[in-house]
Amino acid sequence: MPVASPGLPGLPVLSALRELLPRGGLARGSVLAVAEFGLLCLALLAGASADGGWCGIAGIPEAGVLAAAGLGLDTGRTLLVPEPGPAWPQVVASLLDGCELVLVRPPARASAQVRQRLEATLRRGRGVLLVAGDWPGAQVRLRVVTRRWTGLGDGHGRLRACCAEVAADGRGEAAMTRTRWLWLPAEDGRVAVADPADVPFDLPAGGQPGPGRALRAVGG
Amino acid sequence: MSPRGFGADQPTRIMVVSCPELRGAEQGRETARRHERVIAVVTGFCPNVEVVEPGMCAFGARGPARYFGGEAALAARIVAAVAGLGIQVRIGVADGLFAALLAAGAAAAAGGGDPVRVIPPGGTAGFLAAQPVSDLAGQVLAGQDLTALLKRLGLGTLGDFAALPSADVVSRFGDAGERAHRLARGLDSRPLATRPPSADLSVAQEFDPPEPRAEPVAFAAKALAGRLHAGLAAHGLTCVRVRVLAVWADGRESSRLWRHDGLLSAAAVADRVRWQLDGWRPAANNDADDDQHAEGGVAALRLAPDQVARATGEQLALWGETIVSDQVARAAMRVQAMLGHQAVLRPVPSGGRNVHDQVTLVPFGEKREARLAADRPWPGRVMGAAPGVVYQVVREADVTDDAGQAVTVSGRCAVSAAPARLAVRGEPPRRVTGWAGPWPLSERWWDPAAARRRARFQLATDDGRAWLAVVQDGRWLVEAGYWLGGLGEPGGSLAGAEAPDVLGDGVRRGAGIRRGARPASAARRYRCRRAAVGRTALPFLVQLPRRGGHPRRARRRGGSARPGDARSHRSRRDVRDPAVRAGRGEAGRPGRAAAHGVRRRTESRLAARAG
Repeated sequence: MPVASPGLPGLPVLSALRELLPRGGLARGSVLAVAEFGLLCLALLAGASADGGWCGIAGIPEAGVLAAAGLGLDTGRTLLVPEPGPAWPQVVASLLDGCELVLVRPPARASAQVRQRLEATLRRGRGVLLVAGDWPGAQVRLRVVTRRWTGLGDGHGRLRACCAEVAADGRGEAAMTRTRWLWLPAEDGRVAVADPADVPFDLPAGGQPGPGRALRAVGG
Repeated sequence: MSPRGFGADQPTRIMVVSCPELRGAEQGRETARRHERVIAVVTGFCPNVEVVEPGMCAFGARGPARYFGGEAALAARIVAAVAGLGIQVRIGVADGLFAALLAAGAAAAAGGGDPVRVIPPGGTAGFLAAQPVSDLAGQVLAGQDLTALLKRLGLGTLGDFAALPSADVVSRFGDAGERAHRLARGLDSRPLATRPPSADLSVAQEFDPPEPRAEPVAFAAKALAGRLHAGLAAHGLTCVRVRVLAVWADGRESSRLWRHDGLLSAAAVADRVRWQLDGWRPAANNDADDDQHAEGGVAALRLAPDQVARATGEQLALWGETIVSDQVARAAMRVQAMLGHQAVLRPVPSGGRNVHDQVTLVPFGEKREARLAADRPWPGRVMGAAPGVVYQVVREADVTDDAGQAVTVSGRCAVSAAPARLAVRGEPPRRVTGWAGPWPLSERWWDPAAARRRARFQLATDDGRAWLAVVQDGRWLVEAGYWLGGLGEPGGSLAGAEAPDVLGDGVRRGAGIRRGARPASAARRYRCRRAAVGRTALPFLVQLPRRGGHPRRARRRGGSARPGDARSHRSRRDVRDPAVRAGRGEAGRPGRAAAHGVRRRTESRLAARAG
């Protein structure tokens, strides 16, 4: 699918996510799909927001704004439409007029016609649509292959960081699958690239702390 | 504090107008209406009137009395004017409000005779001295007790009470006693709080015959807004919000408050009226094809200022405040026009101990203020990573131990057993692989109605998720979730090998990925499966706003709403007015210049419509 305004640079993303995306950013006028709403969606918003863009979140009343703010989202430049209702395509199109990046979880499955119209709206503008759900025409799809939280023990500790393997593929430039290990979030609440030698998945199933590791892994 | 209290030369002359029949009456709508008419008549003599209580009002008598030729003459005129309404009044004039109230009461008690009782200047102390102390009952806090006590002490009249040294009164009867003593001596405790009559600043226009199209109504709204602004400016006022009320021919009403803050031009108000009408229509007649609709059009339009305040001018923030650009504001307000004012929210990080409290959601256009201050320590809040998913309504859950018994937390915060299974209501159970807690939290223990005792837990489950759960009143509630999203199939259905398998071979599945260290193989499997996702086209009529504005307007201009003509290689037709194109070009930067451009565009479009 041709993407409009090739001259404009893409929207920036957090540096840790750059390697996952073609050209290291979000191409304007494109659609990204993440299978399920979660921190990964918010992390994708954070980069553009920190750069001065406005973000819209539609149809996700449970979005954890505080976690997003920890990842770098500027809450002053965020619009929330928790319940867009059946008119969600119009709401998303209106938001795309004002915001650079709109995250939407469609309340119903988007028909091909709705998708085409929204994609046409996108190509006219400068925005990027981030869909938490299914979107067959998406240029880039992101998913979390595996993940594990660290810091919890049996009755002690607290959640500190999450190590996740994120895979991206899609169409055109993005067709090649890229996989990265990320701390999402890291202990300081931000996103960081995880050193493969450091990931808690290499531990034996018993979860004994290794010599270089202070944290204990949980999860199976 | 009366001027006399500070040794001023002239005591304050107060006139009290009392309507005995309205005071005792039931406070129904009819009484209120008659009372309001009496106040209106009295306002005709003196504009600044304080309503003391239902059926009784007071005002400073000096100025009006001089104008009307004396207090007695003024009182006679008021009595005659109110008698025209069929209501009898009693009037008392004295130095100070308390004495005037008693004088009006004395005039009423006289009955049949003169309805006016004027205590001459300087005679107030003598008049008060003869009154019984029970008159103080309604004037001060716990007055009943005080007057009963004074009577038992042998002080029958206000004169007896006033003769006591005030220092002794204060030491014996405290603050309320001192206030009563001041009243008994003829010193008012406070000046009269009069208010000028509130002018009706709302403006309205009726449409006869009812106007079925939005554009003429919006055009009329522009003229109405001009009148509204002129009326506000004449009073030196501004309004925080403006209420737009549209009455349809069949009697239904559409009323909505729009943020104004004195910043909106007449054209901007007209824009909001049009959005409101547009937003109202689709819900009213979804199947009708065009502007002509069943309810027969708008019969009346009213703009009323809400929260009127003194206009103090506006100073834009130099820095520190996020400037909302015109484009964003327009987008947000268009969504508000579709879904309502509360539908578009801006988050404000706040304080608080619960994850719900830590973000305040403020409707777009209102002041961004945190409900709970964020810079306080808030002991007991959840530390560490913030959850990415905060449920608006807590979800019930069951947490059981290895034996299948529900896990409980005792009053001393001891856990009955280690949690082994978490079953969120409506979802299959998950195995708990790590947990921490309980972290006790006792909130508002001093308020029995709002007191809550809870114990928090963080639970990690075998599908890689983590949860924030609380135990309250023996029930487990899940408040928030920590996860990343996007695990498994992007098709929405989590079926297949990637699905979170429940309580079964989660370890083995994880082990496969762990040991293999070949993420590409997982991705390949995923790609193959994705090819099978079919595309279905469901008939669903959608109108999307085009860049040129609302689709309805775009179509009227001859543009097509089909998506086909929006292909990227075709140059877009500029549907804006030439003035705007020039304005955009010369402005070249966002901000105030852009705001003028928008305004000009709307105005010129409206003018073109009218022509």
